[in-house]
Amino acid sequence: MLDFDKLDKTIHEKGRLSIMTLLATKPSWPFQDLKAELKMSDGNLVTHLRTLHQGGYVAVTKAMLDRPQTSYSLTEKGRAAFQDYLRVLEQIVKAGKS
Amino acid sequence: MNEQERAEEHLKTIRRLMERATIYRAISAPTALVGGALSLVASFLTADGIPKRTQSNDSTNFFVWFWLLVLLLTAATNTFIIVLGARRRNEPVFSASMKAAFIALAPAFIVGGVSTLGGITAGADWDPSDSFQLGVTWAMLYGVGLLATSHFAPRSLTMLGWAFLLSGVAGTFGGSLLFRISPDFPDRGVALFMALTFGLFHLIYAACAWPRKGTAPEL
Repeated sequence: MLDFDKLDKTIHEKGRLSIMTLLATKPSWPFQDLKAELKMSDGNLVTHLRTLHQGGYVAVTKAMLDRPQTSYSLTEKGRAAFQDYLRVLEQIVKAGKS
Repeated sequence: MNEQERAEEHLKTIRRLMERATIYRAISAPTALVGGALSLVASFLTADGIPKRTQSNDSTNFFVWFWLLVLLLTAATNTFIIVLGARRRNEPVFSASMKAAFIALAPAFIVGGVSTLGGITAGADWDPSDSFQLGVTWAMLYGVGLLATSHFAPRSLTMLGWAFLLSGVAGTFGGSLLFRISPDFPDRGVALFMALTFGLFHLIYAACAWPRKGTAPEL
């Protein structure tokens, strides 16, 4: 019997899951690229990123290039949590099919 | 929606986003803008230049070297933009995506290079209709090259590939027909073909793919 409580509630929300997925594909994502890819409003994206940052899943880097740029990346804790989340999801789907 | 359906939906979201995130645009919009503009200028200049020079033996070299210069300038622009983009994203210039794009494009470009060698070495045997055929061959091979990147390219680049390939096919058959109707067609025909394909198609692509940016708010 699967325990759905095993699903990480911080990630188990479509917006935050999308952010975590993108962050898992590259070492770092500038804010504007995340926004363009996810088609989220600034406020919505900032709120989700703040939640993930407070959970210790996302690291923030600020750099001065042509203009100030804020980039985001997964922390070790975030990467491990995302992998665990994927495993639980796969178990749920397999259990439903068996 | 039960938990299993939700899990399936989330897995689909993850897969879709991961596929989208690994998309690589081998031809950037600024590169297409530069390439398209240079092609239009080159088409305009060669439209008059080739007929004048067909009397001498260097007509072939003029056409081929002129377009090789356009390719060189466009490739230099693309390299510059790739390096800038990689620095901005704090990523290596020779990323895995770039290598994949390079490998996908290589066969078509090698064949294109070999076809072009024929143009360089033909000398006095070169006929103006050969320039048209070479231009059509370049277009088809370029289209094939772009289509070879389609499994990780954005839709606009795949469409550009099809546009070049189909234009090349149309040019092959349409050109042969026009040669019979008008013996003077090849001189201006190749310039028109190059302007429509390498010029106009790239400009349309640049307009569709041009990046739109803003500023990042604070967390």
